[in-house]
Amino acid sequence: MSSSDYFALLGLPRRFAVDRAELERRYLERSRAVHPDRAPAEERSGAAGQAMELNQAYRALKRDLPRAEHLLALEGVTIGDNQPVAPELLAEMLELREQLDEAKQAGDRALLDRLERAARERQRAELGELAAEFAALESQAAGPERADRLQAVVDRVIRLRYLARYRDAFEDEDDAQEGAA
Amino acid sequence: MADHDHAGQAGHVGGGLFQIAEPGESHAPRKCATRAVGIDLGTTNSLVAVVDNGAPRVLRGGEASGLLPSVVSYQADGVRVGEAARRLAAERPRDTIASVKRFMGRSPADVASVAGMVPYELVGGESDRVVRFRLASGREVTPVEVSAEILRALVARAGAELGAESFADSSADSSDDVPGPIEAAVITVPAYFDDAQRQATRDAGRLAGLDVLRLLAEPTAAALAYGLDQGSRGRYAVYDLGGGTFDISVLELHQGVFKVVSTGGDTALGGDDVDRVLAARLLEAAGSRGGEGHDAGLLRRALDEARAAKHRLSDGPSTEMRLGDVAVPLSRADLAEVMRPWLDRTARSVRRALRDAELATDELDGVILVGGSTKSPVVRDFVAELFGREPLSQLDPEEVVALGAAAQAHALSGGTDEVVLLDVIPLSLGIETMGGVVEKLVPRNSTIPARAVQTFTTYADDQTGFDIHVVQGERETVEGNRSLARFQLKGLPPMPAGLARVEIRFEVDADGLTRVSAIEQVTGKQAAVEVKPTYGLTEEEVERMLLDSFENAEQDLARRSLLGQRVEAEQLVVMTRAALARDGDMCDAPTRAAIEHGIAELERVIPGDDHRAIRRAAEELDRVAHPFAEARMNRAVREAVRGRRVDELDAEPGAGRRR
Repeated sequence: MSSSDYFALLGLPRRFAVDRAELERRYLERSRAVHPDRAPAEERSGAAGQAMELNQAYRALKRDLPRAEHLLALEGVTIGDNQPVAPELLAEMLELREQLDEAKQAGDRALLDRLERAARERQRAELGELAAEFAALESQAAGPERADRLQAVVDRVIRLRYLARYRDAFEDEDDAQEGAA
Repeated sequence: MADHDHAGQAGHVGGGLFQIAEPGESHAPRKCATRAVGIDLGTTNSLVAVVDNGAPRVLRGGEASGLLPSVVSYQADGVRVGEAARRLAAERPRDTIASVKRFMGRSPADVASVAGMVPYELVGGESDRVVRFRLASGREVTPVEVSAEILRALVARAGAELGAESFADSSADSSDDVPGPIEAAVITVPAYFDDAQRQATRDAGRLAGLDVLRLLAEPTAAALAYGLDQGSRGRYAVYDLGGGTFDISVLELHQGVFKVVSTGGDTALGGDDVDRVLAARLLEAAGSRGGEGHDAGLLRRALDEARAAKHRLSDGPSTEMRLGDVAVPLSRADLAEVMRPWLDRTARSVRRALRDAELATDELDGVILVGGSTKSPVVRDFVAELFGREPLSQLDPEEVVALGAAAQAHALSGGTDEVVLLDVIPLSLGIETMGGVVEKLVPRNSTIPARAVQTFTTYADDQTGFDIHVVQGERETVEGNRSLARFQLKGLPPMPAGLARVEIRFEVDADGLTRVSAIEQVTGKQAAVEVKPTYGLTEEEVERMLLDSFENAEQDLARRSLLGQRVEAEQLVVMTRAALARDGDMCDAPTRAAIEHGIAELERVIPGDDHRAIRRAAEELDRVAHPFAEARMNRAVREAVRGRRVDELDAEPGAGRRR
């Protein structure tokens, strides 16, 4: 149901490159304006609704992957769970997960930290590529070439989703330890 | 399902929109109290503070210390709270409840593991939602009632010190017909408290006659106290190890906005655990064991001695624990060793909170200590090592939370409007899908108030309802998470599988409490709902307790009922108007006139004070609009058979696989 334009809501240009300081400034400014604590009693539930939408928008725009997904949604593209994936990406992910499982099994904290750092760097590199793809897409006029550029962005977003899930697996490790304690 | 089922849904009005759970009166207009206090309702000790001349201060009520021991003792001649209750603990262990906070919002199954190590009797079967304490007299009390006694004692203490009549016991005001001055408070909760625990805390406040302005996360309160005092800006971690809970929060403070970036912790971890381990060692040396058939008085004395010995280690490198003629030596190194597993668990929570905040320890501007346990040199050393810096401790770690709560109470009751607080939901909120897998709808650390909307559909032809199970927690499967509520959607019109579109809306308010509502979108058809909260007291139980304790309870209930009816009636008007605007062509002239008349009549009674009149008018509007609703549903079904909506549904991510 995210048909509303979060960029418009926060008064920001609709593009992938986001000025974080500006996003933060506008979010805080609008939060101050709509926060239910500051609304008169009779307007409180309306203010709460606005605050909820504002928080949703901020959450989506603050992080790179959700922002990319929101931009795609505004283009009319939603990425389902069963998208075709490049086989080499799958192979790479399988190998990374195997390494992670071994490190977990061995309880090797140093190795886990090293793997997580590597995952973070990999993610950062992919995000750089995604930013470039978006910049190309945004400067491309409508036409068949634009569709190709859009597809390139979609492919990149799928890769990033896999990487994000792989990083979540590090977090599960902490959860598992907590459960065992 | 028989067609007449939807006519006159008991207790609900509204064309397809209904409230499933109503935690408290979050939409009730808030009174501006004369004076609002901040309350730190702690596991071991509680405090009350107030803003005076622009600065928060702890109210001591004539006592030397601001700390009121969170102990309640039920005696034949009345209830004792605080130090007086604690003195009775060894002598009357079964009637004296300590650390009640650990039991808030918990079921008997949740607390089974500590049942052998507490000196009072816990009752409640596997299927009960709330644990109860059975006193020697046979009377049973809930954790909510025990906590309410602590809150009443704090309010009395505040009254004694401030001498304000507004703090007088609420029953003294019964001569007034107008609802008397309701005392307002901000009550703090561990950031990591889930919905059931927050709800229980709020219920305790209501039971004590308090208008709970806000449930505020303890670490956030602590940062608030520091921020106001120093005009600090930057990123802070708040490390809060109290008697029974651990919280870690990362906050950003700037330009008068306190934004919680991430939070985490453990609700069953703290100094009390350490006391239990030490007490067990002491009992073992004395030739006695905990567990079944223990001597409650002996256990209490051992726990008291363990705690005292632990505190003595703050002043010296070694001491001994004594029980009768048995002495067990205890050094700081011994204590560090006992505490290590707990401290390591806090380190895991810290790592996760920093990861959620996408920060490294060296990007922080300071670490704030909160909670009595952080006074221990063992803990301070550990924190310094963990963060690579000395923690801040200008404010007393035991008072800082109450000070921050007072500041927030002051701000919320109209004292200032400089401070805006953006807090987060500590645990992800999700629903059970096929195979017991949890689908997270509101991820943890989402800023509140927050909303998530999910569309469900039927998976069998002519299915008229389905179950929805709401859970809170981070695990991928249902078993690892806390079950919050189960509810059933019933009375859906028979349609082909995958056609119904039930939009379930989750809303988390600024107190971190969850509301669930639902709309069937295709037909606007009304569906019945059955709520089975899996934890905590039901609304009815809280109301019964309120009746027991308030003289003006009836008035309150009528008022709440009125507010509820108004909200529902207003929603009905809005929805009916929207339906007329969209599909008015399906409505013949007499029906339309009847609906218009029904709307006008309902709008006439909404501002009035008679909730029954509002209900009657709403039911009447529902009745006259019925043929129109039927026609809209028929059109929807016809369109579906032509296949248009089925295509749309296929494009909906996940439609048809959820249940």
